[in-house]
Amino acid sequence: MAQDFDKTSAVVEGFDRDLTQIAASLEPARQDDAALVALNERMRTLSDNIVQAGVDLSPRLTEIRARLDQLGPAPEDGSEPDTIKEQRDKLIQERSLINALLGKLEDLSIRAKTLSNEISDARRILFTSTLSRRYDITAAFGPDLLSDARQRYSDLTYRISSWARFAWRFKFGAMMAATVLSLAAALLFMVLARKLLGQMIWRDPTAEEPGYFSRLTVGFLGTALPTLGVWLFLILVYALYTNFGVLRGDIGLLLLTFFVGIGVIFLVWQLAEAVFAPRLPAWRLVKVSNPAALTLKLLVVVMTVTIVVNVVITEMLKLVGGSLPITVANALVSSVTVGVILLLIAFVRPFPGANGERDRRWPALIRILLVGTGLMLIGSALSGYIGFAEFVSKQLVITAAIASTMYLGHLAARAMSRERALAHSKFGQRLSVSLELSESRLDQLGLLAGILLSLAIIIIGMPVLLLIWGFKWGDIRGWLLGAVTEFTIGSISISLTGILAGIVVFFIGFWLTKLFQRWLDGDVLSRSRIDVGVRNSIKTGVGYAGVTIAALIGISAAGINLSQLALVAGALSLGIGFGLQNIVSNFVSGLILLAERPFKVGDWIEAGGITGTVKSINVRATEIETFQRKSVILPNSDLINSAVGNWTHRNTLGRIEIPVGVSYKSDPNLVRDTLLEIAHDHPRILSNPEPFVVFGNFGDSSLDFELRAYLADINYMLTVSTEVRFAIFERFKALGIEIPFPQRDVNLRVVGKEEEIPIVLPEDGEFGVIKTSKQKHRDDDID
Amino acid sequence: MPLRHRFRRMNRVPIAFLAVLVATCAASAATLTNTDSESHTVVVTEGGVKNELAIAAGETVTFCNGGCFLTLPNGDRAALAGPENVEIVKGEAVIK
Repeated sequence: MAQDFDKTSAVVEGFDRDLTQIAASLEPARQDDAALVALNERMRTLSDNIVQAGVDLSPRLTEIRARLDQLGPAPEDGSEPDTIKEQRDKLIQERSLINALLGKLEDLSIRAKTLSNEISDARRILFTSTLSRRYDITAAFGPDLLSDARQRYSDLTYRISSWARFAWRFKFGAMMAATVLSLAAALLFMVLARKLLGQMIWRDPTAEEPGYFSRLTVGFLGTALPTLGVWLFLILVYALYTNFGVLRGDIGLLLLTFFVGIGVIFLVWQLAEAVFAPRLPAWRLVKVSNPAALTLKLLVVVMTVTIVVNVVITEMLKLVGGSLPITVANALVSSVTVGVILLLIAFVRPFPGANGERDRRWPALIRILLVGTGLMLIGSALSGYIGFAEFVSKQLVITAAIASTMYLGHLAARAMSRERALAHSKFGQRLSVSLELSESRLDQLGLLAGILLSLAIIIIGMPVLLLIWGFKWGDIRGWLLGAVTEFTIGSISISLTGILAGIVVFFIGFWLTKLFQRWLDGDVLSRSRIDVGVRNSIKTGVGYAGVTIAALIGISAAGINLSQLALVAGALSLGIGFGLQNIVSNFVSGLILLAERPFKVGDWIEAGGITGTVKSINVRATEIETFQRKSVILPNSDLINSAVGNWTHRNTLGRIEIPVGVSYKSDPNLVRDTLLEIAHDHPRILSNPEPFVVFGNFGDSSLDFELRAYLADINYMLTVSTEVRFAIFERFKALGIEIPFPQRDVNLRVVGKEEEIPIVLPEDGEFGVIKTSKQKHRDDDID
Repeated sequence: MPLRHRFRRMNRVPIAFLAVLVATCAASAATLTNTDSESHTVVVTEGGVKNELAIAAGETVTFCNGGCFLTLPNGDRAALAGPENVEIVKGEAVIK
């Protein structure tokens, strides 16, 4: 125990020392923003550690108190064994020790907070003083500038040449190897990329009017590939040089700045080419005239070069020792150049004029903004506020670069999510061939990709913009961490990571369920000869269960107490009782349908006045497709609560009836025999149960017969009926059996004149004898 | 099954899940409940500032979103990381 204490107090002492050290290094760092940010970051971790140490220590105090309670208070007369007294004293001592340590930690946390506020203040003061300081320009451009420049230049050349001599003599092999290796790697990358993407990055000059989406993708990929190649080369060279010990510290720093500068210039050049495409108007991403495109591209590149040169000179000065005149001149030149370029851009006439008029200028607002900023830059630089001018010009250029990249990304996202944009692009066609996607699916993919791209632009672009505008990386990371781990709304605090974890776990569960379902359905059930309806029920049931389990696991993974869920469920149940009653009843009905299976997918049912095939049994409703191909969505509860007719419930056996009338002149026996013969001849009509003929009625114009026959598959009802009717017509015609029209015999009876009516006598013995059948036939019922 | 239909059906479940998740996602700051019959005053140091927090009998307060120190009526101290629930029982703190 004592050891633990020693350790903890050592840790606390360590915190104290750190704090003192940071406080001491604050003074010298007051002029250096980067150093201040680093200090701030250290402070943040220190504060967290201080609280954590306290949290680790606190439970011990609870334990001690519990032990003390067990021992009870010391009796007043002191009549207790020495061991207990000793133990109590020890515990009390420990308790006060811990309290003292916690007190110290508390004080430290207050000190840490104060110090961190001080650092923030220092950063703010530094920023404002840099911006508001005024330099004497005339003094800077005096003879000092020349002598300083000459001296720094010789210093620099000396350093570089001495390094070069050293490298030449001792590291020649390594240097060559590194250069060749990097070059080879970059070339290989380019060749491979070109081979792989080939068509997709080549802007065909003969293309008539490529779609916006393909212009964007080609533009972006065309920019990204060469840039990546160059960057790869630079990074490899630097890494290998460092690895082989070719570089010395100072030269390494210089080379790094130089390389980054080259990389940035190259990127901007490529981007400008992609956007303005001065020589390929068809591929231009923005609608500007030909001369304007060339000018704008040039101006943008020159502006970037200016800024990069400014930064490289600043780095060089750091290497060979600062010189005020050079610093001032450098900043002055670069900010005035940027200002002039802004003015030039303002006077470009970018938009092609209609019908041979002069090209149109920028909208007034943009022009005023450009001219104003340019004049302000030149004015402030010339009047000596060099720090301000330099700051603004640098921020402006970098912000403009990032903002325009984001804007391009936004355009790409919009183009992608536009209807049928993806499907009509080369990439989309290739995708649809290789993945066998339908056009609507591709459309949805495009929409999704568009949304994701927009999100990515905001998530990546916003921090970068903030970074440029003086917020340091440490701050942003701090915010992000704070936002991700926890944020509060009123008294409720929400942990984003928790929610994300829950969502991820849920989706994994959801996906596993789908996988299991597919395996069960495809590999197990399909081979077990279970009928389709049961298979469907099992599959759906497993799906419901899996999703429920995944949701529960997800919720607990999100760190949400399930008892809290019960609370919400309790509140919801009231709402369910009233508002969601129908939906819940339909859902439960759906479950019953799956379990009881009055019909299954593919059955031919009649319900609610609708006849059709069951397409799917869903959570809320069942989809029925009528024979006219009309989808009818019937709520599940309707199917449970009212009668449902199912033609194909246990089997597909079914009966068809074909009524036919013959003239009174026909022989009924012949008619019956012919009908039965037709039924026997038809291959789809079953001979057991037997087909039979009903002599239904003495109709007004005809003797009404009906042929009743059974089909093994009732789905052939209409086919068979039609075929049988054709046969009846043909055979009746051949046999001379007439199928009469409705007819009336009109007999005129002359009253008064009496005629003898001849009496008809039977010709043979069978006349008028009733023949009985042993088969029972009820009306419309045979089974 | 038509494609669009399947898409809609697949979306419904995750959205419902999200809704429930957000609805139930609460509580992470520390709460302090006074279970005694008299009111207590505790000293809370949070964000470098010391505050005295008076809690009436039976009252619950929410505080301390990102680490803080407590000094209780009986002189004991405690450090909290955030999500704890603390009860004052007879002037002593019970951290849960």
